[in-house]
Amino acid sequence: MNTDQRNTLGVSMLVAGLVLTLVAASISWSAVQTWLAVSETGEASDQLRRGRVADARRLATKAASRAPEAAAPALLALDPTDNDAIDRLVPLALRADRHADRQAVLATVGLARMALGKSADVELPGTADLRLIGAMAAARAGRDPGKLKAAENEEPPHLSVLRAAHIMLMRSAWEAGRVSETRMHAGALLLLRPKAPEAALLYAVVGVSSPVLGDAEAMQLLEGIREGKDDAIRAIAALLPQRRAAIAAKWPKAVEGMEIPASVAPEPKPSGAKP
Amino acid sequence: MIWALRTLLWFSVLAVALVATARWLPAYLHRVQVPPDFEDIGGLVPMTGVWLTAAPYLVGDVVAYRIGDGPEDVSFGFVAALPGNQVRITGGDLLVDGNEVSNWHPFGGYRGIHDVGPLTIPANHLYVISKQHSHDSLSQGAIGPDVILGKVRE
Repeated sequence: MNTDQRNTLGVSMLVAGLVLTLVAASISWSAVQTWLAVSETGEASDQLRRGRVADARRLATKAASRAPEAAAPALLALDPTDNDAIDRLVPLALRADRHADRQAVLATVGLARMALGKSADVELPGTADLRLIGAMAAARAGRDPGKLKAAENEEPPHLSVLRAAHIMLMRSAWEAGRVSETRMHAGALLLLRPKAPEAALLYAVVGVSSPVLGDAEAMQLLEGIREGKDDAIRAIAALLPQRRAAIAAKWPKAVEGMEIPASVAPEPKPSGAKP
Repeated sequence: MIWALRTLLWFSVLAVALVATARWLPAYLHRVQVPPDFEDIGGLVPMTGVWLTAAPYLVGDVVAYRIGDGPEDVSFGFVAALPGNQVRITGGDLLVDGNEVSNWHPFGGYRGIHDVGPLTIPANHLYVISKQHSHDSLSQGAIGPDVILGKVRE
């Protein structure tokens, strides 16, 4: 190898080194941004769990600006009342590398559109999300949502869709006076989040509508409701005529204007049930 | 020329080793301490550390999760149901897709109510149970991916 060849090789290696250094710097910068985005997304989740929605959204928005292709921060940053922000999520779903991310984003878009009173208009074939969104749409239109029976090999629902579906279908069943359906949805919500603020009400609905629970235990459950107690007891009395006499004895105002069945069935024995 | 190729080869090996270490090592170095008063799962000794590994989770695995901020907020439970499974409580027993969990784990009823559900376990969530039910899904609900720390290694 002569001097010219050595010089050429040296310059080539120097250029290659520079290019590699730039690539490494770019990868490092990207890694730092991703790490910050992951950290901020985790912090946003923590804030959301503590009920600090504004703080969670602020952190998630920062994270989403660092990692615009990531689904999690974009979903946490979403303002569900902002129609344009919801529509901006659709391209993110189409670009998502992971199937799970795509499904999560589309489910959120469908749910958010439904919450704004619009059609969900998302493609989620073979998923429980699609079935639940359909059931919610039917309930909202005043049609029978049908049984929430899972199809074979169906992808599991996302938490937000599942929770929204149970809440909406419980309200719909409650208003229509369908006790067993109301009870089923209340029970599902209770199993999902036993420590949610509304858990005492759900626990009361499940217990009071249980045929094995006596009136005395049922009234104790109603006593345990914290928020909106009077309205809740009145709504429960409206749903369960067989409990009205017992409710009237303790909260007469709650059953005002309601018919109390003349022959109240004898109190069933709580077969093994303990309050 | 050969020395250049040899240097390039060494750097390539080093780069692959670095990437592999960064990718896999954290999963193998994930360790949490069993809280001082934890008695819910046999074999987990309070105040000792346990090694964790990442998903996939299977029914019967012991998983660690943290509900809260402190190290004492770490808890452990058996995976009773996976995403898509249906759980319900009937006759005081937990049923997963119709099968009684008490067949393989003691179950103590649900606050006196003997018929609750069914609930489909959402995507990325687990339904876990432990002996006292003080920190398992009976008291906390379905455990989400943001609080799951990992699976306890054998």
